Amino acid sequence: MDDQKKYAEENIHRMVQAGMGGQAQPDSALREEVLMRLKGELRSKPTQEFPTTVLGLITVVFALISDWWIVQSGITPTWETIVIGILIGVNLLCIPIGSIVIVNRRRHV
Amino acid sequence: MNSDPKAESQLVRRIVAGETKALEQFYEQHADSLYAYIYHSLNGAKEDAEDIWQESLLAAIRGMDAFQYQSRLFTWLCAIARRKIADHYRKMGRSVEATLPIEVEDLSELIDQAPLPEAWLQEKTTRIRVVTVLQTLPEEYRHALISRYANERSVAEVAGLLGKTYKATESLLSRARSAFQAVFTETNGEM
Repeated sequence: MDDQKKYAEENIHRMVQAGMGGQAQPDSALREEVLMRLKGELRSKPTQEFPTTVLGLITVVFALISDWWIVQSGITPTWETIVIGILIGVNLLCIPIGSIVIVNRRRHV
Repeated sequence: MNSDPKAESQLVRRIVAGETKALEQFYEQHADSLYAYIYHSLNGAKEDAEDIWQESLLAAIRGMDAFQYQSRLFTWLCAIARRKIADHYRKMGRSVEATLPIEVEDLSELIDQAPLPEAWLQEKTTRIRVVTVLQTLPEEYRHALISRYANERSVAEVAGLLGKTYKATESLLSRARSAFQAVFTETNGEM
């Protein structure tokens, strides 16, 4: 048992030394330099996000358009026209809301 | 495992969102191992390894939003590095196939049985396998093993680095060795 432990420790020491020792590690100066370069790259990278405020505004605009259509149509409000109006409004709202959901999902995939 | 896939995907998302702290964490976890992977793949050509390492990391940061979460992050990084290495060899007019590591006998069963032959340890395949196995271990284990055996620090120094007592560090190293041996034997050279 002690021999097994001894061999395991010695061999793992030699294996890790062969894999990660000496020249197999980057110079510390280069390491710092590359990290700085990567940070610069990250900062310069455009974030691929569609602004939520813009999506919110689109939602409001679509809602107002649907209301305006109903008002402008000059139809006397009955329960049928109200239901149709609600359906059109909901359908139109689905566009920006769906966009928000899709954009948010893509952000987190 | 090194860090669970969920933690890894969160790290990727934070990098894609432009978080510098996440980039630093990613760099701490993967950069050195990726360098070792490239260095061994190029048979110790230091200057080429440095160039390809930088190119691979830059390509990874640029293309991180395309990471599909179908593999571990380090596996993905190695795939980028392999493509860069292949491009490098093509530019030099060398056949990529001729530079691939040759299969060597699996001596992992001997880890606790006898001293491993030096020639086997120096094989490219073995060294790359060591790097990839280390990368699958929990970060604390990997850090302890590399500090103790690759950087030749004393147990007391490793304890200082990890902020642990001497006894706790000895115990951690023992667990890290067992984990390394188990994964190395399990993987049979396939990562």
